Amino acid sequence: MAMKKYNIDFFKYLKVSLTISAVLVGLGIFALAMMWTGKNVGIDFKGGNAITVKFNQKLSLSEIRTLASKTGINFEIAHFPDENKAIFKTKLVEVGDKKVSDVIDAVFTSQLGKEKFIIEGITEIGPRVGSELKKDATIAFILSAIGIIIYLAWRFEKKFGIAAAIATYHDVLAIVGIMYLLGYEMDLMILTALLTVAGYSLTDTVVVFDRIRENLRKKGVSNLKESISTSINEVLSRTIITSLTTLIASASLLFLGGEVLRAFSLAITLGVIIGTYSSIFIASPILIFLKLDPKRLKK
Amino acid sequence: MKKTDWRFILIVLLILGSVYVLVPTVYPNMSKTTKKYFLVDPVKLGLDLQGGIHVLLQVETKKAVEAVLSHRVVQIKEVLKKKEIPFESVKLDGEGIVITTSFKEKERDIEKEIKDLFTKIEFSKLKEDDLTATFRVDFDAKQKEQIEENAVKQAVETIRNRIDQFGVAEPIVHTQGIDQIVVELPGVKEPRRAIELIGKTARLEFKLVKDDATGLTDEYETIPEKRVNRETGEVQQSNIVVRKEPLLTGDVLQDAQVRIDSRFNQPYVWLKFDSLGAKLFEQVTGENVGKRMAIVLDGVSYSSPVIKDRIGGGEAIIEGSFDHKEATDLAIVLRAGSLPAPVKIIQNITVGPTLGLDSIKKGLVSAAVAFILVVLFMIAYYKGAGFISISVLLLNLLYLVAVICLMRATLTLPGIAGIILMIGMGVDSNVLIFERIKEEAALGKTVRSAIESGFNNAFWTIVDSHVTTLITAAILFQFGTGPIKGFAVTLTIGIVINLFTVLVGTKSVYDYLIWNKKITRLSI
Repeated sequence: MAMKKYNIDFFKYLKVSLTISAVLVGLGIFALAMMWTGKNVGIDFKGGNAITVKFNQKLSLSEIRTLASKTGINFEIAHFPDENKAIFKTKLVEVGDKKVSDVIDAVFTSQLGKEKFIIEGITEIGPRVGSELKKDATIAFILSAIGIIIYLAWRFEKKFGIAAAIATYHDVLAIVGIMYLLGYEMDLMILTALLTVAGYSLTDTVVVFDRIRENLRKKGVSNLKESISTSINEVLSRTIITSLTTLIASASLLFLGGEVLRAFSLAITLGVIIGTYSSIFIASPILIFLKLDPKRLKK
Repeated sequence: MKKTDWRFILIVLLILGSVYVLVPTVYPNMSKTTKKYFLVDPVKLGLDLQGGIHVLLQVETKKAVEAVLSHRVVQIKEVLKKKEIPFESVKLDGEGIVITTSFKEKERDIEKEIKDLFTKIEFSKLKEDDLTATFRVDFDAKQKEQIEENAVKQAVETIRNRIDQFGVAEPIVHTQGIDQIVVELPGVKEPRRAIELIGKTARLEFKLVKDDATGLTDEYETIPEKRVNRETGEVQQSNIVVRKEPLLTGDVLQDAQVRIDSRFNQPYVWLKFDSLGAKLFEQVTGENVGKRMAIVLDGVSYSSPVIKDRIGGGEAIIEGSFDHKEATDLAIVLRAGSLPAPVKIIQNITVGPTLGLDSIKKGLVSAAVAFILVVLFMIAYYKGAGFISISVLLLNLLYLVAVICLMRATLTLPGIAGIILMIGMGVDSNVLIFERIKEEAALGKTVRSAIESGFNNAFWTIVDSHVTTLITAAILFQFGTGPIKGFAVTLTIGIVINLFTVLVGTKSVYDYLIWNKKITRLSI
C-alpha cells in the first residue's frame, strides 16, 4: 500500500476540540461529585445487594416489576429479555434479620413456583467494604498519575509527563461523564475499564510524544506548533489502525460478551475513541500551553 | 548466516512448552494415567467463571473479649464463695470488672484472691464509705489484643475444619486485615447451606431452667425456646428463664452425629462428651435431679427436659424441627467446634455455575469474532507483513494463557475481557514498526536499511508505551480485589509477553527475510 501522507492542521480545530473537551470534563467532574455524595454509585462502593435471577419463561419488565413489588423491597431492576434474566439491586444489606436473596427466593417461589426461576448470582456487600473500596480506588488513581508523571519526566521531560497525565484524566473524566449520562452506575467493572482505558490512552499519547521529541531534536525548534502538528500527522496512520483493531476487539465484547461485560466493554469502547481523540487534540496542545522548552529535552 | 537461529529455537521451544502446559486445560477429562505426564494443572478459573462463593466475614472480637470477661466474673465469684469472703456483687463493666463488698476490711483479701487468679491486672478504688467498698479490676490492654487475635485465629481454624467436613475442593480461608476472614469456596453446589455452615457460631450450652419467677437476679436471663412437637412436627415458641452460667458447654464434646428417630422418622443430633465432659455431665445432672435443663444453641433453647436421674455415659441429644441436611450441618458445626465469637457476613458474592459457563461461552465467541476481524483487517491492510503480525499475535495469546496457567494465576471474567482486548491492542507494536518501516522506505532507503531503522526508531516508543501501561497495571494489582486482581495479572503478563514477541519474534522474522531470503521488495 502506498504511503499515505497526512497533512492536517490540528490546531485549526483547537477551539472546537477544547469546547468539546471542556463539556466532557465538566460532565465528568459533575458525575464524580454526584458519586461522591452516593448517587449513581453501584453497590460495590456503597453496600447493598444485587441478585441475578434467571426465569424459565418470558416475562415482561412490568410483570417482573409487579413480582418484585411483592417483596416489599424497593428494587432497581435491570432486565435482559433476550436471556430471560433480571438483576435486582437494592442498597439494603438486610431486611430485618433476613437476607435479601432469601426474601426474593421465598416471594418468587410462592408467586411463580419453585422450578420457574433460579437465583444465578448474589452480590451482597456491607457498607464498610464499599467505603474501603472507594478509598482504595481513589488512592489507585492518584498513584497512577504520580507514577506516570515520574516515568515520563525521567524518560522525556516533566512537562510531557504532566501533559500525558492531564490527557489521561481527561479521558477518564469524559468516560465517567458519558457513562453517568447513559445511566450506568459506577461499579468495580467500570472502574477496571477506566484504568484499562487510562493505560491505552497513555500508550497513544506516548507514541505521539515520542515523535514530537524526535522531530524537535532532529529538525530543531524554530516552530514548536508546526513541529507538533507534523508529528501528529506522521503517526496518524498508526493511531488510526491501532484504534481500529482495538475497537474491533472492544466492540465484539460489547455486542457478544453478554450482560455482565456490557458496561465494561462500553466504557472501553468509549475510551478507545476518546483516548485517540485526546492524544491528538488535547495532549499535544497542552505541551504548548505548558510552554514546553525543547532545549531541556533529554538526549 | 546463523545469527537468527537461537531466537527461532527459543520461540519454538516456548511454543512446545506452552502447548504442553495447556494440554490439561484443553482436555480436562483425560485419564489419570495420562494426566501423570502433564505436571501442570488446568488453568485456574476464578469464582466468577466456575461458580462458587466468596464471603468476607467480620469477627466480632468484642464479643470474644466479653465472653472471656464474663467467665472471669464467674471465676471470681466462685473463688470468693469457696474462701468464704463476703461480697455484694461482681459485675462486668465495659472492659473491666467492678466488685462491691459490704465488708470493706475484706478488700485486701479479695484483692489477693484475684491476683492469684489472674496476672497483669490493675486495681482502682471507685467508692468507699464506712462499710462498703467498690473497686474496679482492669486487665492489661495486651491481654485484650491477645484474646481478639486468638479469636480470629481460632475462627479461621474452626471454619476450615467445618469446610473440610462439609467437603469442598480447594477452599481458601485466610484472615484479611485484623479481624476479617475471607472464605472462598469454588464450585460449591449449595451456596446458601455453605454460608450458613460457615457463619453459625454454634455455641452449645446446657443451662439450668428457673421455673419460679421469684428471686430473679442478674444471674438469670430470659431466652426464647423453640420446642418441636414430635408428633405434629409443630414448633412451639415461648420464653424461658435460665441461669446465665451454663452447667456445661459444647467445648467438652467429642462427637456429634445425625440419627433418625424411628418413631417419627425425624432426624436429631446425637452428642457424645469426652471423658471430662461425661464426668461433668454426670455430676451436674446428679446435683440437679428434678430440675429442668435447657439445651441452648446460639442463645435459643431447643428443648428443656426434666432431669429424671443422674445421667451417666456422656450422651445427649438435640431435637428440633430440622430436616436431614440441617441436622447433618448442625452435627458438622458441633463436631468442628464453636466459633470463639460471632461472625458477621459483610460481603457475599455467590455465582451460580450456569452464570459462569455462560460467561465463558460468550467470552470465547467474542474472542473468536474479534480475532477473525483483526486478522482480516491486518492482512487486507498490510498484506505480507499482516501475516507476520498475526503470527506474533497468536504467539502472544498462546504464551499468555500458558503463563497464566503456569503461574497458577486465576483467570477471571475481566481477565478474559483483558485477553480479548489484547487481540486488538497486541498488534499495536507491530503496527508501529510497520508504519515506521514504510516511512523509512518512503525516504528512499533500501529494503534492508528501511527495516533496520524502522525497528530502531520504533524500539523506544514501544518500550515507553509498555512501561507506562505496566505502571497502571501494577497499581491496579496493588489495590484491586478478586476479579480486578485477576485482570491486572492478565494485563501485566500480556504486556511483558507482548514486548518479548515483538522485539524477539517480529525482529527475527525480518532478520531471516533480509539475511536468508534476501528480499528486495516490501510487502507492507
